[in-house]
Amino acid sequence: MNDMNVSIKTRRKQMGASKVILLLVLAYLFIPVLVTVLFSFATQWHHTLLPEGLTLDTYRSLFTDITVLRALGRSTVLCAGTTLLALGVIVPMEFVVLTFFPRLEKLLQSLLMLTYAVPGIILAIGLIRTYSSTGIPMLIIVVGVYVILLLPIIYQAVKNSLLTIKAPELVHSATLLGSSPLQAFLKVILPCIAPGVLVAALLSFSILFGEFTLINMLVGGKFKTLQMILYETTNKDAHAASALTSAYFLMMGLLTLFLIKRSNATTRKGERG
Amino acid sequence: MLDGVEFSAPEGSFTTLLGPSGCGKTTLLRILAGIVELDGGNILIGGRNITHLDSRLREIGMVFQSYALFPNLTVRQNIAFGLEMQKQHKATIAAKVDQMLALVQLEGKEDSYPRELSGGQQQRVALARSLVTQPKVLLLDEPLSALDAKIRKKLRIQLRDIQKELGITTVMVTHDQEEAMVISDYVHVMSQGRIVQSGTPREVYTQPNSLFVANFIGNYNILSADILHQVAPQFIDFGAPQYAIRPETLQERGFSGCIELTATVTDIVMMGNVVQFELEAAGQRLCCHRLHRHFEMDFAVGQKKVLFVDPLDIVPIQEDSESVNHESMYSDKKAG
Repeated sequence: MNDMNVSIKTRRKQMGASKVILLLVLAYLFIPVLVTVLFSFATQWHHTLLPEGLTLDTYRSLFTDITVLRALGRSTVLCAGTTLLALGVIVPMEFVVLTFFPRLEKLLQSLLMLTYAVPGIILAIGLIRTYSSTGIPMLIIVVGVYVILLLPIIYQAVKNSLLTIKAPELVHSATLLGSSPLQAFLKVILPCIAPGVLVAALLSFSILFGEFTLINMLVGGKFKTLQMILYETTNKDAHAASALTSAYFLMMGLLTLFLIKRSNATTRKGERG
Repeated sequence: MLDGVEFSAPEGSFTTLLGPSGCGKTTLLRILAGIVELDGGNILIGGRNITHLDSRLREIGMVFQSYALFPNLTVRQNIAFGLEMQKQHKATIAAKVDQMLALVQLEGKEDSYPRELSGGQQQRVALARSLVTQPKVLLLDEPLSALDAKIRKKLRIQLRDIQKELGITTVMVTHDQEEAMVISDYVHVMSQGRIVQSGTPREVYTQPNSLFVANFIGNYNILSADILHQVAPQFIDFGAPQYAIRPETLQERGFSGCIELTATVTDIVMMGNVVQFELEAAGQRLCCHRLHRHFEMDFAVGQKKVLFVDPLDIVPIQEDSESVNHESMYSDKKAG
């Protein structure tokens, strides 16, 4: 009996220590965010612990600023369009490789992972040197680069989905029932991997939305995205920059929560299946 | 890798490819389905050469080991899939699907998704889906291996009944020799990419033509010729290096023409409806099976027993896998 009591007390102490560490880490990560959000609502905040007053004026002027709205539009169109293009290229390619050429899968994975090896600035310089005199608009080059950068992210998410549903067997089964591989892909595979593709799409969108280095170096002022506006605003108006950052945090936070919810739902569905 | 495999499955028969994991039986099945390419040879169905035909055009149905049911479709939609690919009329599809649901006893489950079904129900949906398109040949890749023992025993009889009712030529792959014996008309035993013995279940079970088959099928006692002479001096040697004796053929009562065999009981193992008696003779382990009936349990550990076996049940095992008709060999030797 005594031994049992000792072990229970020890476990409780360990759990308490873990919680404290977790809270400290969360505080380290979120206090700057909270301060930024608070600052975005502040009228004046120089020498006091909390803001002297709160106002929505910063947000009001920000979201009525045509420059900001256009930048938001450009970012959304660029990121959404590139994500859709990347999915349109990678998902069918991955399906074909995993189903009909499984021996090439390891090679494909290695090639895709190479993109992690190239830092953004090196990539940007290389692209400028290669394509600047070809006449191809740099925005198109950016889209192409973004698709390549998304390859490993989409690849892994889609691969997991395809393996979970045992896609090759489903395709063989459908083929023996008289369907073409394309019909099998559209009628069976795509609906089954849709949750995984959606997670990959949202993740890709959020990554591209936050990308600054390549778009700034390759296109610059000709196509101002929200990240560029944020960079410029940081040097001009701290309140506006905080408001823009807070809005961005909110958008990404909601997207992440949705991703987690979808991902958990996909896991539970897989466990039941 | 397959090594010169050749076999035939008569129309309307249930043929089984039986062998251990890795022997090539599933690969062979997939070649028949057109999922795996073959390097050489021919596949003929009803005289029609389908060797290089796309799997869509082979008129072959297949039930995969994992069933491969479409998770996004209901039971009805799964079964109807092949008919929709054939662009059949909606009313015809509905009628055929209902017919199949009745055949596999899944009425009431039409609107369920595969994840909501038990393993046995999923297997029946997979079977119905393959049969509804009326293929010329049905391929079954270890269809019962994912099920527990009791369900497996029930379903294999159902499978057999459905096959008989429809008269569809069926080729099944399994590593379970009991399953192969129960439902097959013909059995081809495979090892290392080759068919090593073919025949009816009775032929393969009672007349193994090689050490591999004797070890794989049933629980054969394998004795070398020398040891057999020591334990059964009356035995007439056919010149084979080894001999196989089924455990259920070792009897406690003698009969005319039988061979006597002396051994000591070393263990008694209760296996359910069968009791296994382990014996030792001339340093060789033997086992004897009895149906589990209490008044026949006249064995005790340490007891010396004289057992009797019909000479026709002592099967000579040659080094190669050529069949040996030892019945005629025995009668020739006795006459000589």
